Parts: sequence; structure tokens; C-alpha cells
Amino acid sequence: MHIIANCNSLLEILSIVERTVPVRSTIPVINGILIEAEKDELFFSSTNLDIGVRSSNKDAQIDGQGSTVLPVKFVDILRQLPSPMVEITVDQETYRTEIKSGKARFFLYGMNSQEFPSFTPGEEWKKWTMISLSSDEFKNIFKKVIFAVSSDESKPPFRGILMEKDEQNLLTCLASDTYRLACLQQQVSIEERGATFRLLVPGKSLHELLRIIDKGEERINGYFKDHEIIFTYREFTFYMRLLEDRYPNLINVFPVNYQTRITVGKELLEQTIGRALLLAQGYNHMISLQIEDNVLKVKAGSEMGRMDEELELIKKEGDDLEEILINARYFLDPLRVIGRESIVIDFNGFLGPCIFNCGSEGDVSRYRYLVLPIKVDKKDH
Amino acid sequence: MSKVIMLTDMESFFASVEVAKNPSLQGRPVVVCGDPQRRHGIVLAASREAKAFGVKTGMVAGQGSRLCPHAVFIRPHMQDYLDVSLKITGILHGFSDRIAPYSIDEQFLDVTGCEKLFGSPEEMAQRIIEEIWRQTRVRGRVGIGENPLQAKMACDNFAKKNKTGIFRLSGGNYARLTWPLPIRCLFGVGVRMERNFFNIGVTKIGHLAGLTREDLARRWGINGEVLWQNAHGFDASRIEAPAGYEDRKGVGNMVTLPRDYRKKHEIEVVLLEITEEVCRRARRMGKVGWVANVYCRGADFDVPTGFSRQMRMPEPTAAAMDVYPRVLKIFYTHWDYRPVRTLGVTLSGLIDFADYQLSLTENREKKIALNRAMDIIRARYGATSLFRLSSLESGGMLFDRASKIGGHEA
Repeated sequence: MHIIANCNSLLEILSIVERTVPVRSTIPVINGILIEAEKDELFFSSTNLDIGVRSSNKDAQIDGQGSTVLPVKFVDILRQLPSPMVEITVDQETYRTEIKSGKARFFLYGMNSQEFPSFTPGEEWKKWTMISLSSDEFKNIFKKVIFAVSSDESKPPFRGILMEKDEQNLLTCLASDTYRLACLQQQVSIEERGATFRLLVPGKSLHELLRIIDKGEERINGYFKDHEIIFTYREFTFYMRLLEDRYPNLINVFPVNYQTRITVGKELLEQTIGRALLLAQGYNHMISLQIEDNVLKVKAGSEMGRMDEELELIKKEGDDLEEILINARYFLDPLRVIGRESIVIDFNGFLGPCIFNCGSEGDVSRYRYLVLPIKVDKKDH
Repeated sequence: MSKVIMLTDMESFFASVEVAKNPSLQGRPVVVCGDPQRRHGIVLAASREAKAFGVKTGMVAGQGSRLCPHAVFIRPHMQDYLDVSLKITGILHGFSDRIAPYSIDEQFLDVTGCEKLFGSPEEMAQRIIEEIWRQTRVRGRVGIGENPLQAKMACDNFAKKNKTGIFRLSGGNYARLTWPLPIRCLFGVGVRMERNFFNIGVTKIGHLAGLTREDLARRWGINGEVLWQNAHGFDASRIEAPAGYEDRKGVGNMVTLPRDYRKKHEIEVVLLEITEEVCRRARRMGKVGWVANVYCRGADFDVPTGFSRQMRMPEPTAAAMDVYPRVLKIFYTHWDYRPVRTLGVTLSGLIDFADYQLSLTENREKKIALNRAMDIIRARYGATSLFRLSSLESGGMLFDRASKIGGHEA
């Protein structure tokens, strides 16, 4: 295999492909980048076993087919070569790879590409059911729910984000770690291919994908079938496994009624809770909230000291609220991703759920977030 | 000012307690040993008279009875020994509050600054021995030093062998007296280290003291350095009033199985029982723990296998049913499928249990209330009053353990 290519053209792809290479995996071959030369096309792939990425480059001049797995250092080498052009020669017997540019010459020890995990071959999958979003939409939807995903391996279904679409093209994305629940519902203009679906996408893989894609109008297409979902974005293809666990019907836990409803400035609340978090207590980051007349009282206290603050409400409906204890982190997470001036929060007593509402039923986009409070253990012995 | 540290040690402790309980055994060879059928058939203690026939602690019971057939063989009564041990701690409290029990029959005490009250260290040691004898009829020995190491060395190598049962080492005489002793006599040197030392020509404590600290650190790391310090009589540790529940960092239990376990379900029964016990103890302290640890030791002594591995849990807990799945996960990740002799579970990273996050998928209030109810029942009616059905299956140790202390009969 012999390639002559422009370094920058390769680096454009490789700087994204390298992001999926695991830092230190026990499987040596996935610590590298797979390079394949086929006819007049060059392919680069990497995987951390949660997500795989593959991309092609057609600008290179290729002599003879072949493949090898090179250490990720290969990308750094390309970045620092003296000439804009690079010549890469791979010995298919020994996988010894020569990289020449200007008067610099590198030899790298490649690995047999047979051991590299294989992705779904061909382009057949482009005929699977598909969902298409702009990268702005995609980022917007998932950043609102992904923080609620659980990383606890003993709760298998909750490691995933539930993606559901009904006949009316209403897309529901839902994530929960069993303590809170984030749910975004949005009308989408999906190319009509298969009416409804219900998928459980692993949060970890989706997180990787969100990290890689940039803002913009470029399309992200998701093709899925059985236990696999494949995303395409620019010249990249991302391969993921879907989770097969049964997901409980959590959307029903949002209560219809409320005991206390407040409307409050989002920015102000975010800042106040941020300050309270500084002195929140213990691993539960516990702070207390209280609503009296038109004021929200926020209190926090730990071994270090105490703080309290009062916040004027824009509006209050229903009863006052006696002291409720809540994880400040859980309260802050949605505030950071909501892009509105004010927000409506419902309370249901000091042991009931607390719900953030953005938009209502029938809106193009509706976001709801539910968090359960902390209970103090009363020792009666 | 140098410190005055003492180590008190009881002669043939278990045997002496048995004789004190039953004066008709006075002057006869007495051997305390476990039940030979259940693998505890080793000599736990032998009276002075039995030792004269060559019976030694740790020897197989059968060998003991061959050496001294006319000895009185007694099954252990751990509760009695514990009671006497605590009584001795009480006596020592009359001399100093800085006491650190080291084993059931050894306790360190720091008597620095008590000379005005009780006289010279030797006089004080004499009074301690007399008081212990008067109250318990057990003969004590006292090693005295400027630090715990010197006290231990003084006791093991000199006080146990002389008539008065008292000996004092100090920075001044440590080298002269201990350096001629075989390397095995140094605290911290076991069979393995002895062999290592023989390999480099070190047979006496003095030889070791002659090596450089760096050399030992290079060969055996921290352990090498510690042994070098021991050879020179250095020890910076202090004897303080014992740490209470508050400072406990973990609770753990370990079980030596009555026979080698090979089957998964038998091992799982025991792991569940230990997990339950450990969680119960954590709850009694009002704690929850972040980290689950599993200890396992293989059955084959010649090929030592086993592991001790831990896992941090997503949130602290003291509920057996939260900890147990992690225990299993750790166990099956590391078990080599060879027969198992010893199993242990530890819950560490303890913090006070004060509040808990409510969950959408489980009723935590109910779970906590259930655990509390089980604890109350067991505290009132005993460990076997309420148990998991699996404890009745083959492999279950609950009923066996409930009647024992430290693995021996109560």
C-alpha cells in the first residue's frame, strides 16, 4: 500500500477520528487508528467499543490496496511534518509503515488490521429507518436530557436515553437516573420512512457524539435497525449499539396537579442555587428551599458554614411550601440548559416531586424536568 | 524525655483461664484445642506443664496428644477468655488511660510520667503482674521499652524467659542485647523473611542492623525499611486511648470455611451471610459506606491464590441488598474457580447516615424501615431469630457462626 496525500486534507478527518481512540485500553489494537486503502478511496476508523467512527478521503493518490492499524501518534506526526505533502508506504507483510515528508522520515510499527473490530459493512444500512436533524437541533435536544442519564452499571436501562416518535411526528427524548427525569418533546420534520419507533441509545456513546459534532445547520442522520444505530455527519459515520433493556414508562410520573407553582427569573435562580451549592451538605449536595408569600428562601449549611438568600418570585400560585430538601446539583443542571428568561416550577409538598416546566402540551417544543427531594432519616431508636 | 511503654502478655492465656476456672487442673498439663473434625483441630494454648512435653501453640491436635497423651484436652471457651481479657484491660486502666490491646492476651500501655504514682517502671510492672494474678489467676509478663517495638522485643525475647517476667530494653542496651539473637527473633520477621535474609547471609539481628537502610528499601520496599528500624530499636508509633466507633473507617468480617467450597451457590450463601452481618454492624453504628471489598483465599496452601479487591459504589449504603450485587460482581470478576477456604467482606468509606435521596423506582423509606425492623428483632432475639432462607441451604454458616467468637466456640 502506497499513498501520497495532502497532510491538511488527512488531518481534517483524523482530528475527529482520533477523539474516539481510548486513552488506554487493554485491547492493544483499538488504541490505534485503522487505515484502509481501497481503489481510490482512503478510510480511517477508530473505536472505543462504545462508539465507532469511520470516514473516507478521496483526495489521496493510492497505489495498491491494503490496511494496517497505526498508533494514534500517527496523527501527531502528520501535524508536525515539514512539507504539506506526505508519502505513506505500508509493508503488508510486516505492517512496517514508512512516512516521508520533505526530508523527514518516520517508521511506525503497525498492527494487523484483522483484529480491529469490524463495523456494519457496506451501505445497505442507508435503507434502514431514518431520522434527520440539523446539528443545532441535535445538540439542543440532547444536551437538555443527557445530564440526567445514570452511569450506574447496576441500573442497566437508565444508562440509556429513550428516543421515541409517534404517528404525529412528536419526538420524545427522555433520560433518568431514577432520582430525576428530563424529558424533551418536539415536533420534528422527519423524512417519512417508518412511522413510529422507540429506541434506547446508550448515554455514553451519545455523549461522545455530542462532543464531536459542531454547531451548525449540517444534517445528522440516524439510521437504525434491530440493535444498532448509525449516524452520519459530514463525511463521518458513527456506529453504536442500542441498549436492549426494557425501559419503564416514566413519562407517566409527571403529576397533573401541583400544590405550589412559582414563576421565577431563570438567570437569578441559577445564580442563587449556584451560590447555595458552594456550601451544600454532603454527597447529596443538600440545600433547603422554602416558599412563603412571594419569596423563595434558599438555605445551605455544611461543616464549613452557612448561607441563606431570598429571591422575589414573579408569580406564585397555590399554597406556601414548608422546607423542602433538595440536591442543589440536580436543581442546577436543567437551569444551565434552559434558554428562557423565566421558568415555571411546581412543588408537591416537602416529600413530593418538584417539576420544571418549559412550554405546555401542544407546543412545538416542550421540556419538563422532575426531581425528587431528599428525606432526612429520623432516628427513632 | 524518653517514653515508658509496656507490653503485657499472658502466659498460656487460654490454658491459664481454664485452670483458673477449674483449680483441680492446677499442676497438670492442659491443652486447649479446637474440634479436630472441623479443621480447627489445632492447639490454641498449652499450659506450662504441657509445653514441657513439647506441645506448642499452632500444632495439630493429634500431634499434641501423641506428645502428651495424659494431658487434659479442653475445647475453647472464647467468651470466658474475652471476659478475662477485658478484666485485664480494666486493671491496666488503673495505671494509664493510654492502652492499645494488641491481641486477646497482649496489650500495650504508655505509662510515661506515672513514676511519681507507681514508682520505677520495674516496680510498676511488678504491681501490674501482682494485680492481674490476684484478680484473674493468670500469670502475666511485662516487657518495657522506650517505644512499643522495644517493649514487644523485651517481652518476647527476655521477659518470657526470665523468672520475674519483667524485662526492660532501652536505646542504651538494645543493640548489645538483641543483636546477637537469631534474625527470627526480630519482630516482623516470619518464615518468609527469615528465608530471604538467610539468602543474603543475614542470620542475626545485628547483621541486619549492619546493612544500610537504602539497601533494604531497595530489596523489600517499605517492609525492608521497617525491619531495619526494628533492628535498631526505632519505632515512632504511639500508644493512645483506643479509637472508638467514630473513627472507624470500615467494618468487615471474614470466615474460614469448615471445608473447601467449590460450588457457586455455596459460596454465594456465605457471601450473602457475611454481607448481611457487615451491613448490620454498619447500621448499628449509624453509618453507610461507599466502598465494598471482597477477600478470598484459595484452599491450596502450597499454591497461595486469592485476592482482595474493592469497588466504589455509586452512593453510600448499608443495605445488604444494595451491597450484595457488588460483592458478587467483585467476586466473579476475580475468582479463579479454584476451591475457596476463606471469604471476607468489608464495607468502608463510612460516613454518617443522615439523609437519603428519594428514588423513582424503589421505595427507600420502606427499605430502610425494613432493615431497621430486622435489626431490632435480631438485637433482641439473637442472630438466628430472623434469617434468609438461603442460610438453611448447604454451605450456610450462619448457625455455626452464631455460636462462636473469633471462629472458636464461645
